[in-house]
Amino acid sequence: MSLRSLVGRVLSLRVMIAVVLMGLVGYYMCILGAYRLPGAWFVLAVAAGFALFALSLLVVVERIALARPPAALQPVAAHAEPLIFLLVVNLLILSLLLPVIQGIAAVPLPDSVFRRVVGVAAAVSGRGLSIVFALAALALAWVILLRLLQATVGRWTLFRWMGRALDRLAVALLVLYCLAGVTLASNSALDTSPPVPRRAEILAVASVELPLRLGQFAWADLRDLEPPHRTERLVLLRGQDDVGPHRTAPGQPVRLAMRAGHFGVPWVQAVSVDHQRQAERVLAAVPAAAGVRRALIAELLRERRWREIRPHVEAHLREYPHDREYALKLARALETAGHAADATAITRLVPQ
Amino acid sequence: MFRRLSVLALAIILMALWIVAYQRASLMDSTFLRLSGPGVRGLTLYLSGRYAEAARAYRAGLGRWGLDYNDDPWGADAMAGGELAVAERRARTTLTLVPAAFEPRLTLSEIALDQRRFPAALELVGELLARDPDHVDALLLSAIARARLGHDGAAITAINRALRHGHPGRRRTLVYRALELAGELAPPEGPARSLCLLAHLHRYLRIHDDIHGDIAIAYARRAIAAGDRPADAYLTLGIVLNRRGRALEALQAFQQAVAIDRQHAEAYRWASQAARDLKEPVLQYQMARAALEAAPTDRFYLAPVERVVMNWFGDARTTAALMQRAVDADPANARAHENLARAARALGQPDRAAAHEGRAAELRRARSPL
Repeated sequence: MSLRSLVGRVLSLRVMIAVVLMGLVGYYMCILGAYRLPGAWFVLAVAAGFALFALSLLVVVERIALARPPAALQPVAAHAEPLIFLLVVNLLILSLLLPVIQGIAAVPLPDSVFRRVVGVAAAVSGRGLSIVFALAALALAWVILLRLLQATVGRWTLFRWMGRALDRLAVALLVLYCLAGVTLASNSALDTSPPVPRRAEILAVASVELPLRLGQFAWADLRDLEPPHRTERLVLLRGQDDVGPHRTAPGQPVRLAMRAGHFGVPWVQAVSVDHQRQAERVLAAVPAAAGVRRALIAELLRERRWREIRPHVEAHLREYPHDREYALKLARALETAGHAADATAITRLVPQ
Repeated sequence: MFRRLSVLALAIILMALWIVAYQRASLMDSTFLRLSGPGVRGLTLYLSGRYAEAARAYRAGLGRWGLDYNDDPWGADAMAGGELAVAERRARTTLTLVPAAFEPRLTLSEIALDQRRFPAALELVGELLARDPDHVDALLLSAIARARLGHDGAAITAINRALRHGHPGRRRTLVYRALELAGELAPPEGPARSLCLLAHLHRYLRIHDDIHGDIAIAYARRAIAAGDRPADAYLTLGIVLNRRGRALEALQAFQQAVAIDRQHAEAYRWASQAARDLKEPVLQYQMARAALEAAPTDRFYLAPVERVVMNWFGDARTTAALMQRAVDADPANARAHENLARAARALGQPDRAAAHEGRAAELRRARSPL
C-alpha cells in the first residue's frame, strides 16, 4: 500500500479522527491549566479550550449522525432512536437504584463477575451521571438539528458544501489547539529549571462558575513588586494555589514559583501567599507578636539573611527585655556566621 | 422521521428533568428525603414551599417503631411520633430515677410546645440552660418557644448561641419545628413577618438543605432594609456567604454588623474566621481579640484568643490584658487564670504567673467530682 493511499484511508476514518481529536482536546484542556503562562491571552486560551471541547463533541456527533453505518451495524442503526431512549431510561432506573446497588457492592459477593458488574454500577455517581446526561442532551439536540437541516435545506448543493467547509474548519481549529497544547505541555513537562520566586501582590481575583456545579474558572490580576512593576493576568488552579476567588483580598502579598520553560517560554508553577512579607506586616501592626517574630527570625536564619536579623532581635528585646536566653542564642549564631558587630550590639542590649 | 426525532426529544426532556431533580436533591440531606407515605407527602409540600404543612407531614412519619420504655427511656421517640401521653409517662419515670437528667426534661418541654403551652416549655428549658447555657437542643427549643411567644430578639439570640457550636442539635424533631415555625411566619399566601428571625430559621434549615441559604440571604437583606435587628441580619448574611466560600463578601457583612453593634461578639468571631479564610492575619487577630473584649464573661470566646493571640502571634502583653479582663469579670474562669499565668510567665512576671496558676488549680479541684 502506498503512503498516499494509507493517508487517504486514515482520512476516510472520519468518525475515528473526530473521536481522537475530542480526546486530545479534552486532555490538553485539562493539562494546559497546570502549565499556565502569565498573560490575559492565556486566560482566554484556556476558556477557548472549554468551547473547543464542546465543538469537538459536536463534530463527533455530526460525523456519526451523517455517516453511513457499516453493514454489521445497519440493523441496529435502523432502530437507533428507540435504543438511545431505552438506554436513557435504563440509566434513570439505575440512578434510582443506586443507593441499593451501593449497599450490595459493600457486601463481599462470591461471584466475581457479578461483583464486578455491581461494583461498576455502584461507581456511577449522581454527579457523573449529570455530566453524561448534559453531554448526551447536547449531542442529541445537535442530532435533531442536523436531521431537520438535512431534511429541509440539505438538498441544496450550496448548503452541503457549506456543511463540509464548516466541518473542515472545525477540525482545523481542533488540530491547531492540539498542536499548541503539545508545544506548551512540552515546554513545561520537559523543563528541568528550578523554580524562581517572583514577589507580587494581588490586585483582583475574578471567576466564572462552571455549569452543573463543576467548580469555577478563576484568574487573578497581579502586580510585580520588582521594577518595572508589571501587571499581569494569571489563571488560578484550585488545590495548587493559595489564592482563589472569594477568598483572597486585594493587596495580598504572593510569591509566584516561576519556571524558565524548556523552549524558553516562562510558566508559573504555583502561587502561594508570601508568608515573610505577611509576617512583616503583622509585626508592623503588632510589635509584641513574639511568636510571629520568632518564626520570621528562624526563616531568616535558614536563608542566611544575617543582616536582617539584628533589627528583629532588637525589636523583640524592646517588647520582652527579660528574654535574655533567646537574644544571646541569636547573638552567638550571628557571631559564628561572622557578624561580630551585630552580635556585640545585641549582647549589649541584653539586660545583665 | 418526525416520530423518530420526537423519541430523541423525549430522551432529552427526561435527561434534563433528571439533571434538575438531581441538582435539587443533592442540596438536601436525608431529613427531607424520607421513604414513607408521610415522607413523600412532606417532600411534595416542602418542594412547593408549604413549609408548615410539610413539617407536620414529616413529623407524622416519625417514631412509628413502637419502641418500649427500654428503647426510649426519655420518651423522645414517642413524643416525635405524637404519642404525647406515653412520652410524658416515660420522661417522668426516668426523671424519678435520675432527677438531674437533661433529656426527659427536653421531652417534657417538647410536649409543652406541642400543646402550645409555650411559657411552660420555656420554663423547662430555662432550668436546663441555667445548668448548661450552651446546650444546643435546649437553646433551639427555647428559641422556638420564645418565637411562639413573640419574643423575636430573644429567639434570635438563642439561635445564634446554639449555632455557634457548629452542629444542628440531636433531637430529630428540632428541624421540623423550625420548618413549621418558618412556614407559619411566612405563609405562602400572605406576607412574611419577623424577617430577621426568618433569616435565622432558614440559616438553621440550610444545614439540612442548602437552598435555605438563598432564602436566609433574601430575608436577611429584607430585614436590613426594614431595620429589623440589622446587626443580626448582617451576621446571618455573612455566615451563609462564608459557608459558601465567599469570604470576602462575608467579611464585609460582619464588618457591617459590628459597625451597627459594637458589642456583637459573635460577629467579631465570624469576622475573625473570614479573615483567616482570606489569609489576613492582622484582621484575624484584631477580630478574635475584639470578640473577647465584647463578651469577657463568655468563655466561648476564649478559644479564638488562645489560638490566634496567644499561640500563633505569641502576644503575651495583649493576652495578659485580655485574660485579666476575663478573670475580673468572671473570677471563677479557671481557663482564663491558666492563660493569664502563661502570659505573665512570658512577660517575665513569675509571681503573678504562680498566683494565677494556683487559683486555676483551686478552681479545677473545686469543680472535680473526686
